Amino acid sequence: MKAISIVAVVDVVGALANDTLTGNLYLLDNNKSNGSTDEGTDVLKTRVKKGDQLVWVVQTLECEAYASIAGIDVDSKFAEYIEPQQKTYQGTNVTYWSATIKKDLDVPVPYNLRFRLASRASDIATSSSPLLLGSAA
Amino acid sequence: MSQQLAILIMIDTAAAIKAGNLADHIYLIDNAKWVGSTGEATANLVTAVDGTRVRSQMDAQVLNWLPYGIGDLPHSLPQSFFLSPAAKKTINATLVHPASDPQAPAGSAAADEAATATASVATARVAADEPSPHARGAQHIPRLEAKRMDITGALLGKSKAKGNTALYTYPMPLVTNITGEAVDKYVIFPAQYGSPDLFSKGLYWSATVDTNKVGTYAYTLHITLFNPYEKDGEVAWEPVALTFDSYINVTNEATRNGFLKVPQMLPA
Repeated sequence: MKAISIVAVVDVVGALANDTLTGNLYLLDNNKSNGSTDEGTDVLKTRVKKGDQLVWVVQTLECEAYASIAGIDVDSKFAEYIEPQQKTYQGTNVTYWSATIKKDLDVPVPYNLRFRLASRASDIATSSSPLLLGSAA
Repeated sequence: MSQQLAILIMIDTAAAIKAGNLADHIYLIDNAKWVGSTGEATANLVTAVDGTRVRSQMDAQVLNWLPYGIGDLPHSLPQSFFLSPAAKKTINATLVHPASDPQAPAGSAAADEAATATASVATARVAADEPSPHARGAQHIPRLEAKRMDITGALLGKSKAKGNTALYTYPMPLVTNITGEAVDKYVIFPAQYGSPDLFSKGLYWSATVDTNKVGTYAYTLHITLFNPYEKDGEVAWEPVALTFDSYINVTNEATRNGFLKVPQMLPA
């Protein structure tokens, strides 16, 4: 069992100016040593095992800009593997998303990220899906 | 006005320490991709800097380096979130209810609280050469201890540390110096700046760029990571100093910013 962090680095100004996350989102995790690939892209593939705890957090490219993760969408057919939930750091209004891998993955599990950016009225979602991969997948 | 360029230094701290180098576990990202930076979110970032200024020193380019460990708690959390209960007592005793406060007579609840907090200061102190925490007259605040937490911010006790240091969030990486070709040739003028942060010391590195020096120049980041080990049944952190080379490319393009995507002369 490991604790794995996935950091979504968002170029908020770029995403708002171009109205897309494509080219303005960089996903990184701390599990490359165990087989994660595509670090620094918007299609990060994170290698996971049963019992691993995943935490998604956001970091903006410019510290003055606001971003938070509004949702992590996983197709319900993968609910037996993972069900991410939003949580809050105790005593603050800073949120993160968390999930425990319930079962070893025998298929890749794609997910989509939705963000709240600055004062944009609606969420903005990824158009390409990062993946969770099991050791055999 | 000057253009502030941010360079995020993202590091997989545990992996870099294990490998003994940063090259495979560092990812640099800047906010100048639209100006022409290449290698975003890789170890091979070349930061583009538009060199030709349409006015004067007022629109100098400024680089800011921001280190971030992948696995750090979000830096957007308020600083007080990171403080241990002992450190919060210290602040209370030192700033909010100082024992020398004539409003708090000896034997009062406030004085007792201050005395308890002073005792906990002794355990919170890290370096032996720090000034005495009793020197309140000089408004000295002793170094404050951070909470031991996992990545969800849950408190970890000392005993849980045994054999399970992987759960600890690592202290954030520190930039300790910036040297190399770009500094030697007076292309960038780096310096460390501070902000009034209580325990992380709030230090960051920033540099102005002499944009007359057109060309690609290397600079060396000196980065200290912290490796956990057991000492007397508790987790201690051993500093690990590593270096990494990155690049800036100063061009003779005219300076642009978010308001002026097409280069043009600003009105005086």
